[in-house]
Amino acid sequence: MTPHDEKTRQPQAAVPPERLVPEEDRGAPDDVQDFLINVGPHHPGTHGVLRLVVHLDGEKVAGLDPRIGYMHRSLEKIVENRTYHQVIAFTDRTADYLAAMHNDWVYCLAAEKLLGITVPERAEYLRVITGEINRMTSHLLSLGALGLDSGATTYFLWCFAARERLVRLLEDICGARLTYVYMRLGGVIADAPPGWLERVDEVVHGVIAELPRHRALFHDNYIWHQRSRGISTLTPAEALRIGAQGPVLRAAGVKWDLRRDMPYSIYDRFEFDIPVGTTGDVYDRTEVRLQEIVESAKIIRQAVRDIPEGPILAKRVPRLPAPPPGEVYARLESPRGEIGCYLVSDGGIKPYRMKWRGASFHNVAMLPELAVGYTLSDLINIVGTLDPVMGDVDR
Amino acid sequence: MTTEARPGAAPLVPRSDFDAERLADALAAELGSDLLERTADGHGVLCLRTSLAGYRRAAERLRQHGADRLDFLTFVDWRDHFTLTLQVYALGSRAVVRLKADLPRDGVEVPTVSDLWFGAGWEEREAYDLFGVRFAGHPDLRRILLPEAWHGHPLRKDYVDDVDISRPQYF
Amino acid sequence: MLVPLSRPRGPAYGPLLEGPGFAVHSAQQVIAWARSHSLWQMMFGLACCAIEMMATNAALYDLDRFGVMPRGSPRQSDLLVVSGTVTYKVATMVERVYHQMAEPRWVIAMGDCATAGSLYYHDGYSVVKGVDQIIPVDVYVSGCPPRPEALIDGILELENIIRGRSPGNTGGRP
Repeated sequence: MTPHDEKTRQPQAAVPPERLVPEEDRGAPDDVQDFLINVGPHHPGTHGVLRLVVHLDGEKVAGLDPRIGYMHRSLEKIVENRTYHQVIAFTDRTADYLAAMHNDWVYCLAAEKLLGITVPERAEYLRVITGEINRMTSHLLSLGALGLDSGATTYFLWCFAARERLVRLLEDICGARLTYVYMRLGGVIADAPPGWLERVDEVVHGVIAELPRHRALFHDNYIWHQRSRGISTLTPAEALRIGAQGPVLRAAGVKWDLRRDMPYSIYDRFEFDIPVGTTGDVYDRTEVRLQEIVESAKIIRQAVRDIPEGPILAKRVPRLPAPPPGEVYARLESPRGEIGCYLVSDGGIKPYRMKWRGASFHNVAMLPELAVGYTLSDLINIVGTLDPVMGDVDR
Repeated sequence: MTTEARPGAAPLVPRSDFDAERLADALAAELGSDLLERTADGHGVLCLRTSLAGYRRAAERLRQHGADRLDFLTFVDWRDHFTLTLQVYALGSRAVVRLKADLPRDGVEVPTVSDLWFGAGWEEREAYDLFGVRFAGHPDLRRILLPEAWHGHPLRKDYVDDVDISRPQYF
Repeated sequence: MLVPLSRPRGPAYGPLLEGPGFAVHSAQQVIAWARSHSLWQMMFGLACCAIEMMATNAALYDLDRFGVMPRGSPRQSDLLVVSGTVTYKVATMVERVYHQMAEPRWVIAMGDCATAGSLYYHDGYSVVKGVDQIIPVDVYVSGCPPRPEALIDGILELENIIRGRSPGNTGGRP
């Protein structure tokens, strides 16, 4: 196993005893000083501008203080000075920018409730298809970046190559690669171009067909198993206590997905599984994400099969909506968990108050509970599997 | 890794008999005049408005009866007063409750609920940061989004951005 | 410019370049030419533009073709791509990263937020209205976020600046 035999490891000449530190001066292991180390905000492993003040005991994390706010872009103040239509541009950039479709969607759900708009059937199906494609791109990026953090650069490149094909699909239907502004109040802004729906099924299942190759490279890799199994385990009761969101909650074994449990839009019409893990460790979280990509593809196939003809935008959506005074809350399952939008109207043409509920905000808040007791190198993987998007944390 | 429920294991989503209406009845009996209003917002959410004195007790009852998931905690600035809004729901029965309490804009401390819901700790820090209302009993009340030295609390309606270069300077 | 001497370069240089020989050039320009082809980039993602920056570095766009390699440490980097919104809280860090980089160093402001504050120009109380208020910028790339092609164009433009060529002159490259 080792190229060195016992003989070569021996020192050639004995160290003179006067050169050695005396036994009584070496200090017991308990005397090792704890120290503070700063990770971020420009650390490549923190997935954006997250700063972690880590209290280390040797190599083990003894305490952790996440510092956020480096990407606070005043979303909630800005939308108080914009009309209801203008807000969509801000929700898809400022909040979780990896799942821009879902952010626009949850805002539209809230505003449509407030305005009493019914969305046409075809628009609902287009929302589901684009939303699920966006979920796949988000999960692929999350897994790829995790691979990059743990040394699997090839996996990162493969994930991006697959993601690029899905991004092209979204680009074909709405013209943007990342910030789509595709969902509008009352529907979507553009119908599928000719041949797009057929291509969706082909491309999505082309990506799915590649996943066994990804699994062989990374998920079934011995090194990855060693680095992920049993790291940062989470029991279902503990996950519920600290308010875990999305894939982290499901990896802990709680079968909770808003698409099935509190269905919004038309998700009650589709058949899909909710992957859950058993131990909630780093391995299970990546596994849940990988299987959710497959489930998204199932939903897309059903939606492409069932999509009806018809209008894509509700009639009589006012140019300058002024909903009656009131308040609504809409929630939705984004790739990172439950996001929500609380809208308060005072009868004017601008939202009086909007509170954005980000899933990553709650996931980063529980980071001290997950990472304490594991080593600093595990911390990077733990942060990576929480998949925080700093736009969603700081807004 | 399975996609099916494990045989013999605990149910993957805890069952609960949390019933928002029944809880509201119990709260009305317990809080008496502290429960000011009980409405439904028309989208399946039960809204309870309490006085500030009854807010903490109502939150404790909600937690005890199984409202285990926190949606958000925030303020709304109505220019003459703030409204504290806390929304929770029960994972088992999917019942959503929104708890509201009015308070004056200055000089009042709100009792913390960060010991009841884990996520409320950071939500309260954010509310303190952006609105400037202190939470009594919060273990770690610091600014969270803005730097410590920031002047003012930006989500107040009367906030003036004193370094805003986008405002016209000379006409 | 040093050229491989066996390569035919047209009638004017034909006789000169046959067989072993030498070429004379200003050392400054040779160094600039070398620098422009090995721009090591600081791996510092700020916001949504960072995702497009990652996509530019990854498969399909492959910034390695232009000698741009992401590095984890500012000490090893020549190029800072400010990819996204700069808030007041992170401005100190951006400035510090810039000062930690060894000279010569170049800055690309990627996207409208880093250029001028973009959507957050009005009412964005926490957003710096353009990164050029805190560090000097060489090239601005517009877009929200810019496509990877736009970022590549910005990097080619930066190569022009380093080599002292007129803007838009890509030396025959597309």
